[in-house]
Amino acid sequence: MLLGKTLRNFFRKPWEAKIFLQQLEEIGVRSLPVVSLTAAFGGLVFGLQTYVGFHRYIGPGSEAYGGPIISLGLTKELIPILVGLMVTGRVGSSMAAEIGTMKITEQVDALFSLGADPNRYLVVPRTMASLIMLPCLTLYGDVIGVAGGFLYNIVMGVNRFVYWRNTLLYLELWDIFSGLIKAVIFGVVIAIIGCWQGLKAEGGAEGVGRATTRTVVIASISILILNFFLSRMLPATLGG
Amino acid sequence: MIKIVDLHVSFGNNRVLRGVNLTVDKGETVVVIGQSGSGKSVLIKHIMGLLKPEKGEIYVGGVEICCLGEEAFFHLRRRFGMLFQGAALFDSLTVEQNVGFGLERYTEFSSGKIKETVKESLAMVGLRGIENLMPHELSGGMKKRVGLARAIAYGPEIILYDEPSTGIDPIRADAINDLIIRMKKDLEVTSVVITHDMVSAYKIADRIAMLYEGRIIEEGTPQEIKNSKNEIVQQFIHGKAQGPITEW
Repeated sequence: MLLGKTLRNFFRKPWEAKIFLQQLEEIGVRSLPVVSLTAAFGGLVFGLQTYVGFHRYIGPGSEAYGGPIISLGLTKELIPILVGLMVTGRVGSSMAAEIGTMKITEQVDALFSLGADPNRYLVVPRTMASLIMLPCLTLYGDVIGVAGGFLYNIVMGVNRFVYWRNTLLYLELWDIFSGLIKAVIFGVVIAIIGCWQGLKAEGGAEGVGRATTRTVVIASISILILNFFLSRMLPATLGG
Repeated sequence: MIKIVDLHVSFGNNRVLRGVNLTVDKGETVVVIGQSGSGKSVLIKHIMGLLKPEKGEIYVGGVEICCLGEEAFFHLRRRFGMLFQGAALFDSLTVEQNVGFGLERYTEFSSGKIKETVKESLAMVGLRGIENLMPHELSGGMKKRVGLARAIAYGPEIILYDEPSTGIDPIRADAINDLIIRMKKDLEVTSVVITHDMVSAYKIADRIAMLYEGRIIEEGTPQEIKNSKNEIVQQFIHGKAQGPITEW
C-alpha cells in the first residue's frame, strides 16, 4: 500500500525538492567511502578466486580468460548486492530511526496538521533519491570492483592485454545494465521498508530500535531473495 | 462548529472512548479535563482527523470529516491549528522554519511576509531573537511556546491545545492563558483545550467537560463544574487521592 501511494505521489505536486537533494547527498555521496571499500575488496577477492580456479583446473596461462567471468559476476550479481546491503545498513536503518523518532514524538502528526502529507514529505523524496542513487553507486562500484579484479590478476603476472581483450569481447553492455536494473529495484525496496518501519514505530526508544533492526533484516533478506528471481527473470544476454 | 456524536475508539482490547458526545460552538473555548490516559489526546486527534473513529461521527462546520477526500481534507485542516503535548517541533528545522511551515503550505505569502509573520507569532508567545536556533537548543517551555506560535501563525479558525501550560512556569502559563482568551476575543477563534491545570481551566473555559472511563460524565460552565454534585468531578478538580477514583 505504501509503495503504491508513494509511486502515485511521485508525479504529484508539491515536490519537496530540498529534502530530495538532501537525500541524494545522504544516500549517494555519503555512501561512497563504504561502497568504494566493499567494491574494491569484492573485486580483489573475486579476482583471486577466479585466478586460482583457472590456474588449478584449466592450467597455467589460462588465467587471462577469467576477465569476463570476473566482470560478469561483479556487474550482474556481486556489486548490486553489496551496494544494496551496504546502503541498507547505512541508510535504510537511519531512515527507520529518523522517521520512527518523528512518529513517536508526534512530528508526523504535526506534518499532517500543517498541511504536509507525511508520504509526500518523508517517503517520496527518500524513495526517489534511493532509486536514483543506487544505480549510480552500483555503476561506481562496478568500476572499482572490475579494477580490483584486474589489479589482482596483473599483480599475479596475467597478461593485461589478453585479459582486457577477453573482457571486452565477452562482457555485454546488458550485463552492466541488468545490474543497474536490480539496483533501481533494491533502491525502492530499501527506502520503502525503512520508511514503512519508521512510520509504524511505536513504544518509545525501544520501538525505534525495533524498527531499525527490522529494516536491516527485512531489506537484506528481500534483496537476496529478489536478486535470485531478478537474475532468473532478466535475460542472460540481449545478443540472441 | 464542532460536533462529536457517539465516538467510540479502541486500541486492541483497550476501549479508550465509549460513546463521547460533545459540541463546541463557534468562538467558544471548551476545556476537556480528565485523568492521564483517559483519552483526551485521542479525542482531539480525532477532531483534527489524525485518527479515524471506530464508530461515531465528527462534524466540523456541519461537514462530517471522516468521509472527506484528500483535497477537501487539506482545506479542512487549513482551518485547524494544533499545539501538541510535547510541542512536536521538527528537529531538522530552525525555529523560523518550524513556525513558517504552515504559512508556506497554507498561504501565498512571500518569503519576506512569512519571516515577518513568524516574528509576530513568536512575539505573541513572548519569544524574540530565537529564529535561527534549532529545537534542541531550546528549553522545554520555549519549545512549547514555539509550538504554540506555529499553531497560530497562519490564523486558523479552530485551535486544539493539548496541555498548553504543562512544562511552563506559572507566570508564562498565565500569559498563555491570556493569549488563548485574546485569540477568542479578537479573532473569534474556537478552542478545545486539554489540561490538568484547573487554575487555567477556570480562567479560559466557557465550558468544561470531564472525560472519565471513555465518556463525558459532566459538562458545564466553570461555576457549574465547581458546584458539581458528582463525587468523581469533585475528587478530580480538588486533586484528592481519596475518593471514588481509585485507579491512578
